[in-house]
Amino acid sequence: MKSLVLPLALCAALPACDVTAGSEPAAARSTTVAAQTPSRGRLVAGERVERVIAWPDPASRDERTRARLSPAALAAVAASPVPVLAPADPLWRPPQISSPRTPDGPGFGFSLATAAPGRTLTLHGSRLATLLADVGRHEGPERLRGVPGFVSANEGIVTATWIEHGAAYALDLECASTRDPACALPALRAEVEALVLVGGGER
Amino acid sequence: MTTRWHMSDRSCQRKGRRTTWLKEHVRGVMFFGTVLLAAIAGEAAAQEPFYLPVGDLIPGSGEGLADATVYAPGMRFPIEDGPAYPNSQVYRSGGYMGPPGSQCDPENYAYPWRDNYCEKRSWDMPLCPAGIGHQGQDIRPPTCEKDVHWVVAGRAGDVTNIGSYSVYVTSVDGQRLDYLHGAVPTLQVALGDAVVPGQRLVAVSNNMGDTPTSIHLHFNIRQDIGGVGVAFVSPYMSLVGGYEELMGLGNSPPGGSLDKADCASLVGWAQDPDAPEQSIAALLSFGGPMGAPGATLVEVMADVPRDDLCAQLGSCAHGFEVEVPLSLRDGASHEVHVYAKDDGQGAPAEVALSPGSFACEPPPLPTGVRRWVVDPESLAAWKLSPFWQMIVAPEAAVAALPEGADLPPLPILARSPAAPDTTWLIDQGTRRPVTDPAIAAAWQLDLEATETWAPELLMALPEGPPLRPLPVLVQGTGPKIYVLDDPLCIPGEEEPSCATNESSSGAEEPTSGSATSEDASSSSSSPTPGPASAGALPPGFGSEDGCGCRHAENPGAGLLVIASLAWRRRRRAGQERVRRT
Repeated sequence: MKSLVLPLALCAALPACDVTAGSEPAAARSTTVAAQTPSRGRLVAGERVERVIAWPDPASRDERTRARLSPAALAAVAASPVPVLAPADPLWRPPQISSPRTPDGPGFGFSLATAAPGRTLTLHGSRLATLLADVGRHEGPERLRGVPGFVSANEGIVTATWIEHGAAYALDLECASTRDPACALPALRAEVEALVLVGGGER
Repeated sequence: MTTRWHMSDRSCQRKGRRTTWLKEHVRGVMFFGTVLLAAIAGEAAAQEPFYLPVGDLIPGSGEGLADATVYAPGMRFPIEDGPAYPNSQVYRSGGYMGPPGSQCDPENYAYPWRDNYCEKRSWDMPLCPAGIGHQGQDIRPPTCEKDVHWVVAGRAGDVTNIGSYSVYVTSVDGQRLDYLHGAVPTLQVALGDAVVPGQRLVAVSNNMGDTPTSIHLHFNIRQDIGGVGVAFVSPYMSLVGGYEELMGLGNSPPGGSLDKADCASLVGWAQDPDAPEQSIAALLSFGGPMGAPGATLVEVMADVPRDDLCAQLGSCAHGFEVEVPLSLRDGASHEVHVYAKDDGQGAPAEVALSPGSFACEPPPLPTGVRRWVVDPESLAAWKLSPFWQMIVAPEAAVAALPEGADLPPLPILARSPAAPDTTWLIDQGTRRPVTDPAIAAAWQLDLEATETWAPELLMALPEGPPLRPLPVLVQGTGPKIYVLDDPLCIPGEEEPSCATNESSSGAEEPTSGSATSEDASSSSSSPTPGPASAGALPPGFGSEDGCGCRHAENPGAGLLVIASLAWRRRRRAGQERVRRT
């Protein structure tokens, strides 16, 4: 019902909604269609919506951590469409950061990867969400960086996810030894809390 | 079991890999017996899918998620050659919760596939029915040999992590595919490399750092989900699609046509010659071919009877007609690719005369206030669909609409025992009547979730305008999405649009800051949408009685405070309730 009423009501009632104006019908595609109102069907893989980023004060950037970034990483940070967070602990190697753009121009997030002896850390920030018809609001049971979040572990890899500055973030920790306490949940939480802002949104 | 073996054999014959496969998998006696039984089973067996339904986990291994979403449409199957056997590593032979036997037992290397996303685990998985579970799908390679079979990229993207036993590839749209347990010495890529679908990444192995696992690829799809944030999603149906393509499964490809693409609708038909009487689904991909980044894919049943098809196809009920999404009525040209979906196994086939294109002028903006839907989590909680329900308008036209309070993060419905037939939407400290079940349905409000409030608390809230008959969203050039609504006019709070509306004769008067009536009239004939005159609007698209607010009869300030507190408490309770779901 919902699918039928909106376009019909809009188009029937609004003079400007000329259903033929600007149309580009395929030539010789005439057909006999049984009387039937158009349907919507099902969005197979959901639909994409952009998150609205609440940019933090650039003064809150951690300059010491920025100083450790390579020129390529700094360029990726500047181009990132979401605030880039990074581990501040110098135990981690200077991270590799990418913020790819589509052929049309926009980018939708960044990825950061770094390593320390025996473990790797990846961080992903996103401003492009997928809406699914049957997924409502789920708030994580954990408290991460002052907001609700989720903590998960599988195959020895521990993961934390949360939403901050309007963007969705995920951090993964992986150890060469799955028994390494550096990849236990307390360590994961500590890494999440220790992330600092290094920039973003500069172009 | 015999059918499973039959399917394996059939798949391999199709790709000319039978000999290799037999060498690697099948004991001779079993094979000949299987072929004999399969021949007896006949055509019915041949139609049996190679996979069990999504969400159908091994009994006792947890509660699966019956999620038919193809999160990675057009994905390349992530093992270079088939056959492959997605199934549990824990609850089958060789697994610590499985029956006695070895991981190499033949039953582990046989169809049908079985989902193990959401299989019992301890940690958060918000999309799993239990809220915890296995993050992805375990896939056994063609043979029980490590470091022999190649893991390949399912989608194009950049290598964003190489861990001790993981490779992550992130696509430009942010979707990440994870490939776990590969043999490090066989790595074919480095951190930062750009890869294309089908490119070798690493060999399937049993690597899990210092704790070997069974020989398999653990495969995840992870992406940003509205309502949740970054989450692991079910990879099963994406794998099914990729496997059908890889193995050339299926029989005759389906066919069809895109007969018409214009602003009235998108019309066509689809049919599977293997089941000519049966209606099948059509897939419409907007914004690029199926699987392209940014493409939106819609599935619709092609089951509309059409006289012209009866003679042409020998069967009538194969037509479809899809409305043009409101968000694509923006004056620009949009392309639509149409595919017919195979009735059984098999990849979708693009139909004749596809792609088509259309360019439709936007409708004028209805009057009202714009209320920001602050994040995808709120869109998800309200079940709003920008694709179908959103008017895209110039920024100036959107800015001209007065701004109201943000839409609450989730809808809360309440009723009082004194008037159980009246349902109210609690909205920013007001109670708004939901006057008709059809309106509740149009907004996808869950009336079953209506809370019971004490009458004195509920009725102490000022009464706001009724919910509009349909949700209409609007977006300018920026990312902010608004819902168009009537002003709430909360007593004691300054709301310019309320003053404007209350002093006007209703929605016929342009809202403050917007164009004049004449402007609106002229804009309606131009491609630029502007505020529409109320006379041209259908019911529900503009307030007919000014602000539309009816205040409670002078509720005392104390009562208002109590009600407001109760509302906030209910709101928190609502959020808790959502958390538990």
